[in-house]
Amino acid sequence: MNEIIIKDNKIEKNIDKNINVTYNLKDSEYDVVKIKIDVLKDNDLRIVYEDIDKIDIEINISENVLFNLYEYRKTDKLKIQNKYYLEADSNVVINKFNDSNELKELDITYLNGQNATINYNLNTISKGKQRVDIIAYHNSSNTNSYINNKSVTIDDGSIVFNVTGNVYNNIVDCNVHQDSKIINLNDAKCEINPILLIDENDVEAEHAAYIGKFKESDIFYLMSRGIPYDKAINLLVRGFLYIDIKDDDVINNTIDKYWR
Amino acid sequence: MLTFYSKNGKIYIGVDFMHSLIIKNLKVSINEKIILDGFNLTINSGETHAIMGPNGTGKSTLSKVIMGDSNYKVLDGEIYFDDILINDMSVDERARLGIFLAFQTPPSIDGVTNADFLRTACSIKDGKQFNLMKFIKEINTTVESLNMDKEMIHRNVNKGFSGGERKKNEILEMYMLKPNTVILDEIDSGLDIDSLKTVGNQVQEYKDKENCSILLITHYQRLLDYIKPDFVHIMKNGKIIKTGGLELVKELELSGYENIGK
Ligand SMILES: Nc1ncnc2c1ncn2[C@@H]1O[C@H](COP(=O)(O)OP(=O)(O)O)[C@@H](O)[C@H]1O
Ligand SMILES: [Mg+2]
Repeated sequence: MNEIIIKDNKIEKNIDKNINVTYNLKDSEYDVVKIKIDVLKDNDLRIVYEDIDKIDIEINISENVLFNLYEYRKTDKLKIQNKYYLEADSNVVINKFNDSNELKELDITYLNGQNATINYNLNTISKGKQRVDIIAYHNSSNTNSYINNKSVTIDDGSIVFNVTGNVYNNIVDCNVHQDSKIINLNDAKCEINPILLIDENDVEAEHAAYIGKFKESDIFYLMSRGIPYDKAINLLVRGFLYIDIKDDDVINNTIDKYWR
Repeated sequence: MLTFYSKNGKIYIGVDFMHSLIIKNLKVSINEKIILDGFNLTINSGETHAIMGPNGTGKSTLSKVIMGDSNYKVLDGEIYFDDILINDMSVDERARLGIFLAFQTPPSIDGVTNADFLRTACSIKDGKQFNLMKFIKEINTTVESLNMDKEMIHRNVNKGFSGGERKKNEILEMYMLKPNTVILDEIDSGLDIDSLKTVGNQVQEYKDKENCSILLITHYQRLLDYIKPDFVHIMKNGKIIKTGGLELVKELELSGYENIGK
């Protein structure tokens, strides 16, 4: 699989010719790593972020391209901005697993061509203060955005999800779906703010939000089979946060690290 | 007590296979409402006890209190397992003693597959002795003998299962965990006639093999065609009002819960 590893202001890449990658590394401490990725043909890509604090990414997906992006972050404080530009008939799946402590993320999707679809999934362990803003602009008719976020809070962590869907007048037949869930294990103050800015009637829009605990009855059931409380929580967290980033071991090991 | 007992073709002598669950004068409330009051029952290995009673009388409450559900408050009385007071024991500890509850309404659990769940439970129970190959073999044969869909092993626990499939899944879990004390809370509800027969026969077979004790909670006599109780208890208003044998079931059919015991 195509892979980009961004570590410590260095970039390693192993990429085939249908993906163009250009980048600027940081010149100073205050600088931001910038990466531009053009996806020209159907492709999969994995990006791993390690020990990095600021980064801007731009990804352009060409017409009629099917693109799967898998992301894993392991860092202390991360400020990240992603812009996704989707041309007509492109279909993009993004799966992200975040194990950075503090997180400030802004992800903007521009659905520029007809029939473009984004299926965006972000799962995060909120161990520090985290805020994620996700915005989808439906700039063409027949475009679809499916935005799914999940977080489990731990230690002093907290999370705010702001999810915005924009559909302007005369852009018809769009689907705008948002689903955010927070398992608030540490009783932190968390927020989910779904915002639907829709000027057009001919749209299917919906949002769902949940902030709460695992169900007591589920925990009781698992424990009734001899599974101790901590292990029951481990199983439930694993079930909740599992996401396909083409590396199940990383997810299992991360969850075992925090929930033994 | 010294007993002779044969298992897997071997003769065992000792107390290993004898267990008892003793409930003394139990008084239980939930949300300030008293549900069980003056409840007494003793169950020994090899015995099957049926509890029958009208809806809302506290049968499920009893089963969950035995398992240690902390939503219920034990106001008075004791629960002993092999002379150990378990009132304050956690749910998982009780399970590891060998107490198993087949739930009246088993929950469905997002993201956790049956296979992961049962592997975790069995590996905790067996510790170092846990053998994955043996586990896989056993789960496959049990799924087959219960006429379950093989795919269910890899689906999330009870997710999208029909009522009957959930009940069979409870029996699958029982077979895998090999409890010595089995509580079946309306295992017959939601089962079609074929499944009722399969489940009934599988439970009886398990009992014959493991010499476990069974507490069978049911509304209807039809399950008793397959699982033969040694004792039948009629429960009303949070306590046992009458105990007998199978003849009580007939009496119940004739007179109904209203008049029995009068
Ligand atoms: N969580 C609860 N909160 C309040 N009352 C409850 C709760 N669970 C059970 N009850 C009450 O306890 C009584 C006994 O219920 P249950 O044990 O389920 O009876 P059964 O299994 O015999 O039908 C009923 O009156 C029921 O309404
Ligand atoms: Mg009940």
